[in-house]
Amino acid sequence: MSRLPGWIAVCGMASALAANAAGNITGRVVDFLTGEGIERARVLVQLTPPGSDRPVTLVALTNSEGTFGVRNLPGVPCLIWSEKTGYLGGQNRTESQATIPISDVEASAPIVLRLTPQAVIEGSIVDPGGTGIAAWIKLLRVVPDKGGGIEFQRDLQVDESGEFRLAGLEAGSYYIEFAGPRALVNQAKVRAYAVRFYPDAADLRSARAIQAKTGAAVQLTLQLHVAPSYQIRGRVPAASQNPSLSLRLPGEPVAGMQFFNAAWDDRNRSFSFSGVPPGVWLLEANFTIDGNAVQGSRIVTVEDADVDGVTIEPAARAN
Amino acid sequence: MLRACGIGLALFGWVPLIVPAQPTADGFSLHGRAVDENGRPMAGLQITISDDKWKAASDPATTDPEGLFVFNGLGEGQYILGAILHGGTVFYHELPNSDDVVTTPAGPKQEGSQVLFRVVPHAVVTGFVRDEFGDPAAHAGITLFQGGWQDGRVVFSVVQTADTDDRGQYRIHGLHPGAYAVCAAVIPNPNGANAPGAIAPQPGIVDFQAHEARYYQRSCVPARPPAFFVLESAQRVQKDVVLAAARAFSVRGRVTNIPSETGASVSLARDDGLSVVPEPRSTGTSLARGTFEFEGVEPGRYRIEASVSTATGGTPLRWSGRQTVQVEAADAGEVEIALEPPARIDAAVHNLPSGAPADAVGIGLRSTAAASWTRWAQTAPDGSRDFESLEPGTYWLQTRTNGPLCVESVKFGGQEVLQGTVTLTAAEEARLDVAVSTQCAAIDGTVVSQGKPALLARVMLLLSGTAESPGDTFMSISGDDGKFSIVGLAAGRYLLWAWSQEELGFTGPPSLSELRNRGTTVVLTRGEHSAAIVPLFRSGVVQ
Repeated sequence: MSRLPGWIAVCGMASALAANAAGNITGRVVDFLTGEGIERARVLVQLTPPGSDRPVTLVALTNSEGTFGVRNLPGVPCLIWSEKTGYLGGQNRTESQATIPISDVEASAPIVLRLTPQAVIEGSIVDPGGTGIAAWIKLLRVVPDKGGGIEFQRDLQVDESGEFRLAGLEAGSYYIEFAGPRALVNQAKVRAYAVRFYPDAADLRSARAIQAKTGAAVQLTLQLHVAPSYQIRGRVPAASQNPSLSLRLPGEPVAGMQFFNAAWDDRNRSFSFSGVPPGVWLLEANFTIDGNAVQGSRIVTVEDADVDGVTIEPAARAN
Repeated sequence: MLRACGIGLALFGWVPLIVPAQPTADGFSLHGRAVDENGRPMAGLQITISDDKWKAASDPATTDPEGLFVFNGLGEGQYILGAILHGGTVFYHELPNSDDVVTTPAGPKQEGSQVLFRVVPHAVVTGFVRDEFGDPAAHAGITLFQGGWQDGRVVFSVVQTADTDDRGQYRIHGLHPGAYAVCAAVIPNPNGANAPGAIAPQPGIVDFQAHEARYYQRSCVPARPPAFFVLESAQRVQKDVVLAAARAFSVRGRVTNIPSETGASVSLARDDGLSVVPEPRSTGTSLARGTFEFEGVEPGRYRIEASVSTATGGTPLRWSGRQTVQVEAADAGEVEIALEPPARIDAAVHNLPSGAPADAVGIGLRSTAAASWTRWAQTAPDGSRDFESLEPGTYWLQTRTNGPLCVESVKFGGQEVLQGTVTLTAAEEARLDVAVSTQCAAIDGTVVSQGKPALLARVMLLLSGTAESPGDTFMSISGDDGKFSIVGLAAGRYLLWAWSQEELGFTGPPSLSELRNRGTTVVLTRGEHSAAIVPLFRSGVVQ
């Protein structure tokens, strides 16, 4: 059984084929690491029948050997891919999909679609007493293609059990930023938790990367620390409209959810963030003035008291 | 003024004096003790306090080793207590099947008393969703919903949604006690109806020529209605779901009488009262020629709605049309939906006292169609009210007032419709004349159960229509003495029912028609208060 190269861009080659030509496809879905057949993998064959402008998708299922078959296909190009829970297969990965002209498959060897086992990072977030607690997680990935740059991957709201699972990951290096539950906007002094990076770092530079491996799960316990809770209060320019405010650690990727809720008083053009632990924070605002998008930001240091009277002035036009 | 005491925030009493009175110089204090579900004191717990407008009344208090906490310097009034537990908030005396919270009074009568705050963790529903082969259904959509009363009927509302993870597992947390049902469905693909994830695979060799599309059905279809289950405080319930696959069909048709070049928006939704559950494949197509097609439609009764917005003289108008389709064992083709121009109603309010605020009178219309919501007239700064872009059809009239007002009459085309309906034709421009008065009637009622006052009971007043076909209804709740008050009513004959709010199962009857002979009739005279004794109805879980 020969292996088909990952991506064969032949769409359109079969357009001159007879519309009623029939073709058969056989193949096998295998584990990328072990080469063993995968049972009950979904194999999707997508094509646009002659005379139609809408694609049709057939879904086959592999047997205990990992093999599958589709027959009586019309003579048009088709895209074929496989997917299975627990694997990184799918339409967007080269090793698990192929585009083929049906006219060729009668004579061609069976197709091999390879599924890569996923990596998983899972575990629990606990309070200082070791009890699970509601929290927020941001998953950041080191991107080798970008010179080791770090980009936001996804965020996750963890419920009161504290248990979390980040599945469907590529093997690689990851960072995790985590924070306690958001403070209620009407309860400024509810207990706060410091924002941390795995394992227990105050910033990304001090954090340790997590090595996620193909087909393996990394188990983590992330512990939150109680911190004093303060408010940051201030105003935006009187002429601003539709302000959007965010508070984050300097150097933290911009994407993802906010760890802090901003309460907004439209009448006074004032805002407040509650439940903010001591630290150095980057306060950012996006708003419009005279119909123009404007940004503003400033560093706010919270020590042992509420910070009042913070003003944000327009710094640059966003567009 | 049609209003009731205790809506949203239920009043509740307090336990007898346990600690010495500690009145403070500049306000009242509120003492409490936090215990877990077994009655053991909870130490180090943060307790929050808000006023009845949800504004923080004080900084949080932290319980001592005996679970005791105190808030000082409070004004006399009602307060909402909450406990921060595992990062979430548990409110004092959460009610089953409701987001209502029970307030706690502070004032001279409560000085020295102590509130016992049972801080019970919220319940959790968890489970696995699998396909017909027993494999996990990853990223399936889970909808947890409850039945509740609205507009005189039971409606299903979404409590929470969740997705399954890669193991097919879901977890929905933070739940109040009550009756719930779980529905699972493959999440619609935003790219179109032919969502590969919703297509069920076919074992063995797949033959393109003989292929028949099978799709995963949502787990609650008319043939398999959702099974309600009761969730108690702190309970963890596992509800596994197996998604079945079935032959599915297409629904095709076209939209006619489109007023502009813009393509119409077409949606397809189940007509079974469970449209709150996402349709697996309800992503319709709106084509330039006005044609539409839905694929993967499983057998059932559907409502197809089409609409298009067009601007006439700068005013956006919504043309609309609808059609009901029964899908059985074949594709449904040639469904035609003719759009109709909207109707418009201008409403004039008469006898409004000078200085009355613009929101003193609310006028609403609710379609008599089974699943519909109330639209309220827009009030302009000059006090004029109108309804724009109303679909042709028949509507129940609804009125609400603030202040010392009641609506005594509503004329539509010269006919009295206060306790009736209005029917609108396409493009009709109509007028409502609403007469208000300060000579209002009221009901001072008591809910009783076995001869005793029934606290925290849900009270329903039927303002128009019948038990079989309710029109305008009003919900209230009894206080800690079983009493309730509904004011701002016009003279007339009304029906009242009451049912328990503290039962764990679904609260209330399956429908008012089940209780048509058990309502309490009250006849109101203009400007007078009337008493009513309303027996409490107890019910079980909706099956």
